[in-house]
Amino acid sequence: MVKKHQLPLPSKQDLEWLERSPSSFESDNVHKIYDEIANHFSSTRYKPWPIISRFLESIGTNEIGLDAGCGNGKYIPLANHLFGLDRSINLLKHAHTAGDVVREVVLADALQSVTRKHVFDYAISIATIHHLATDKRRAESVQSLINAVSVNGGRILIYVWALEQGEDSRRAVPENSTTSSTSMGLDVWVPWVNKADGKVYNRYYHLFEKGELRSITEEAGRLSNVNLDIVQEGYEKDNWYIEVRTNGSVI
Amino acid sequence: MVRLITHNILTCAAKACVDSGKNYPLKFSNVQGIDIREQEFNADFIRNFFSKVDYGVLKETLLSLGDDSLKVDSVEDINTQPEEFIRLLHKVLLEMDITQGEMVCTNCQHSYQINEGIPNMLLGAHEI
Repeated sequence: MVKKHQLPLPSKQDLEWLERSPSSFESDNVHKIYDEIANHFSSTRYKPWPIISRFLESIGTNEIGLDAGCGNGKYIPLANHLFGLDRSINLLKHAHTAGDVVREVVLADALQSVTRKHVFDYAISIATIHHLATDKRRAESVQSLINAVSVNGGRILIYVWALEQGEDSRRAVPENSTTSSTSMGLDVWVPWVNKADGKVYNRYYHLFEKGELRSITEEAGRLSNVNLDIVQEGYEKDNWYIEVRTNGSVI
Repeated sequence: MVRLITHNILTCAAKACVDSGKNYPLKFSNVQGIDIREQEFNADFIRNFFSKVDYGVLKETLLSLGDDSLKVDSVEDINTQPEEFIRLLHKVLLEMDITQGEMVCTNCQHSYQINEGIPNMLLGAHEI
């Protein structure tokens, strides 16, 4: 058995802040932290996860993709034309030269559409939308992915942290918690002990429970008026994932 | 880096600009650095991607940067174009890299800064 660390829960005041001003909440509890811990964090993020590697291997050599929430850009060298987008400038500086090649990256929020509609063949969102503070914002970010890819045959892969942590996980999720701001999943702090200054940074995460990722993906499809076919979904190493394919506009 | 392939797809994210359809194209301004970065030529990629390119915007943007090498006004069928033209598109779309400058939304006038090759597409809370 791995030694488990109990994840702290946000206080009532924290959750009031989250509901009052989700963007300032994310700014302080996600973006600013990643900018502080970027160098140490990036040094620990180099191994691609199997589901995502397999997805990128299945992409045609001439297809172009969007990595919304690319972090340090560890997936960018695995595809030929993968554009990186992230909210942390210090992580992006790593992504900018991922694999020792100058890469196309933009500083932007995964909630917003900063490109023309439907120009990408595929989009990935890896370990990103669990940092958004409300159901509505998480669905909006999936909508941005849907808007970014082709209306017919556009492929999307989304990967988020699971509430259901496996036996090998170093994290333990508090049980029977009722402090969550949402009906599904759980809002927690995930501490990061930063090498450079020894400081502990509590990052905000929304842990997804079984069925939740599918439900917000389908909700985003409805809001975008785009039909989505589910290609695969499942659980891998403490994370939930879903792959969908667009199948035309809803008339 | 901001290559013209990227410029050709980037839009202003301000809601008013998106809703009015005036979020595109962004206009280069104060361009202080253009690098030419050679890339492996792949005719299939260019032909494949061309359906997504706004050619009018590409031509106009290139002109605004002082380059008139795109002579054709419009392209009906990319597959019947000679390789010479595909090579030119390759150069224009993939090899020109604007490293320092701004991209301005002509509707809301927001100026998106390009710093050390990374464009900042973030908006202030009041602009969204």
